[in-house]
Amino acid sequence: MQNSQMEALTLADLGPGQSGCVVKVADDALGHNLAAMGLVRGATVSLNRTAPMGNPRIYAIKGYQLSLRNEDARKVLLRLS
Amino acid sequence: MTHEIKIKMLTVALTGNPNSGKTTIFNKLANARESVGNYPRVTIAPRERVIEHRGRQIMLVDLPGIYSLSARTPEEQAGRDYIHFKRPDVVINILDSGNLDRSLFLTTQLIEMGCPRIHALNMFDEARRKGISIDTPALVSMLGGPVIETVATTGEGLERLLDAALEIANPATPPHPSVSVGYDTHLEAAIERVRTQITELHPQEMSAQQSRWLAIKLLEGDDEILTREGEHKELIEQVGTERATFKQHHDESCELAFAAGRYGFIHGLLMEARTVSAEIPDEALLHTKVDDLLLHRWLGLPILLGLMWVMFETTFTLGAYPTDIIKSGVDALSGLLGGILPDSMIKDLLLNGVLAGVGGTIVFLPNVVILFFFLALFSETGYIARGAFLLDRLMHLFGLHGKALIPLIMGYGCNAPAIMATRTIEGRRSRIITSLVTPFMCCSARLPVMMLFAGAFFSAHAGSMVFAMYLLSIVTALGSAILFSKTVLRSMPEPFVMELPPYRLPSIRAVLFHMWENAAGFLQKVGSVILVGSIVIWFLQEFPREIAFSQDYEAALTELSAQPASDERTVTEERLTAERDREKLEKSYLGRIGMAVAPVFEPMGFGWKDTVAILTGVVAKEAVVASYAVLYAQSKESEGLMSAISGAMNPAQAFAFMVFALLYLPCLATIGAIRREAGSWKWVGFSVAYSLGLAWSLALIIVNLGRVLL
Repeated sequence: MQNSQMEALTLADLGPGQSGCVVKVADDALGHNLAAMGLVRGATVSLNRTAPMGNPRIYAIKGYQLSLRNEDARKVLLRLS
Repeated sequence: MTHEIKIKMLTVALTGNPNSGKTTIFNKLANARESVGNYPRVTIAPRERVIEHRGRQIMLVDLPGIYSLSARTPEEQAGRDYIHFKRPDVVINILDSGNLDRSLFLTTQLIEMGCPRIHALNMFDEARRKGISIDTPALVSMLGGPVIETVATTGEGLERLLDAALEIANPATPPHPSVSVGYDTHLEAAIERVRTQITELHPQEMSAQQSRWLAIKLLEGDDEILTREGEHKELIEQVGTERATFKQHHDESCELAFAAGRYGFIHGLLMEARTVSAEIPDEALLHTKVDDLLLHRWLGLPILLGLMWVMFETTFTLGAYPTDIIKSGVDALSGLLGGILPDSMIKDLLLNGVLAGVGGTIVFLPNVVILFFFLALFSETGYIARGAFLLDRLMHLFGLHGKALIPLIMGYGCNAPAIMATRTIEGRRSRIITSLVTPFMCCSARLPVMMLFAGAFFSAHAGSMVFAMYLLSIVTALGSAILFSKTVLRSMPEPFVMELPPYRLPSIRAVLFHMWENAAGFLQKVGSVILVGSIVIWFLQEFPREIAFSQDYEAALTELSAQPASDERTVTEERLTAERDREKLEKSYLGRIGMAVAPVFEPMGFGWKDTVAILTGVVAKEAVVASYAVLYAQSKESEGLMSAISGAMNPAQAFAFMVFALLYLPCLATIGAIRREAGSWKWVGFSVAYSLGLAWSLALIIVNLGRVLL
């Protein structure tokens, strides 16, 4: 049960200042794009900022800032760290 | 033999992530040595420069900034093809020292390709300020190539970069021991199995490194490599099975496992070669504070709009001063030539063709230069990425990227540089959509047309009519963007994955260089497309020379001049000259073309004069009003032109003409810009067909509505 709860958490669910560890990207094409940017299995991500209309958001990853739309962030599965 | 090697030009390709300072290094290396003879002065793309270093000619190639060599975007494809097929003698891999975790990803792919490489630890000063210390000597053996600390903005380390390139290219230098990126046992086993098959198929053709690279590429499902090995059915089949089995067992595709493996390699490497102080440096705190303001939930957008307004306003108000100077310069030159040259066809061609056309376009140079000053400033500081972040939600509604705002706004000034500004958009699909819809923005050259018609037909509401045209232009642009993103450009989805680079103070040199490069590109266009276009229009307007006039104007005029001067004489003279010019134009090739094309506009009730005005507007929109002035034989400024035109159409037709003139075709300069930014004539053709079709249909609808309603 604990496992399924963890699986449901995505990058888009991170609150301000919260951070998580990437488990999987549910879309291969997006996964590729993100891999080049350092967002791969095992990477630590945290939420930095949200745009005026709530979307996109800025995440801190590997020491730099990456901006993603929520619809893409929803496909990145996380484990809270 | 040795002599031959010595004189052979060395090819050095620069690669690196966007924002790694690659272009600054390129410009610095290229410009410090401007005096080299075969330096191509006005090339925009491909960016290649020949420089000289220690007596050796080096061709520097600036590859596009990329995050990976997977060939998933045209930029990545271009980068990989260049390194793989052109085999540059040396690849200089530019790394952001403060951001090694990510920038080394591209490096791992370069290592696997096995190309001779040098690593530049760029922005070394910035990294030091961030509290990062790097064990540079340790990196040399880990990355398999010299590692040089550089600071692009000050030029530190750049000489050593070139020295290292010469040394690596020297056949006498022993090669660096090869390095390989290790993966987990499952992947390694798969690589080994595929590699065995490859060595069987290509016996003795490849080094161990090459066959390993090929195996990895195949396992990653690289489309292009798969196609190239397409003849080897068993190999493709084996790779397919390996990929499927892997995915089944690991719930992850091979390519993502490779990516994770590469980051694992990087992580291990940095654990050994880098230490980061736990203290947060002042600079980072300051950057956060600036972002708190510029990306503020409520203030972010107003600040962005304010900055846009300043850019827009400065471009067109400040630009007006040098424009006036250039204009009077052109006029002075024209007056001077007019005085010196004897009356001849050559003189006419020079003054009314070349000087009028080229001079009429070159006056926009100050606007272009100022515009690009701002664009360079915004992109060098890192603000463009922030603007895109703020606006993405809004622009996304129209199928556009956040960065599309800048070209759209600039389009109100002049479409051609606005389309050049689409270069700041990374996604190819968004870039094409933006460059296709930007021409709908009502540029300043269309304003005189709108003002003429609004004044002639809707004098009571002239201001509102012009404003309505501005509104219509943005509505058409955004509407077309939605349409394109749902139809012709739907097949290439691109997620919005954008790095926000840290704020950086731009070097004056970099900003000036950026300005110069774009000004040069603009001048090149003026010297080619505009020059030829102006000459062609002039010929069409002036030929045939022998025209059978309906009456002998010259005789009548000579007769008049013999009479004593009087107001009546002046009026008659003016009338005769105007009639002669009109008849001459009517019977010129341009007039004949106008009449031949006129049937296209017959459903709207536009006459041949309107047709000619429309046709000349293709060269530059300014030409529309100028043509009307000639066609109706009236001075451009005079009230007479308005009253002359107002008799020719009904209000619905006039409105239809305004809409048509607003939307019908990008001008030649804009077409050139679309060709360059969208990358093919196919998109130019599409843009022309779409805008013509749209303008024609709308005009027809308006005229018919007018018939019903009025």
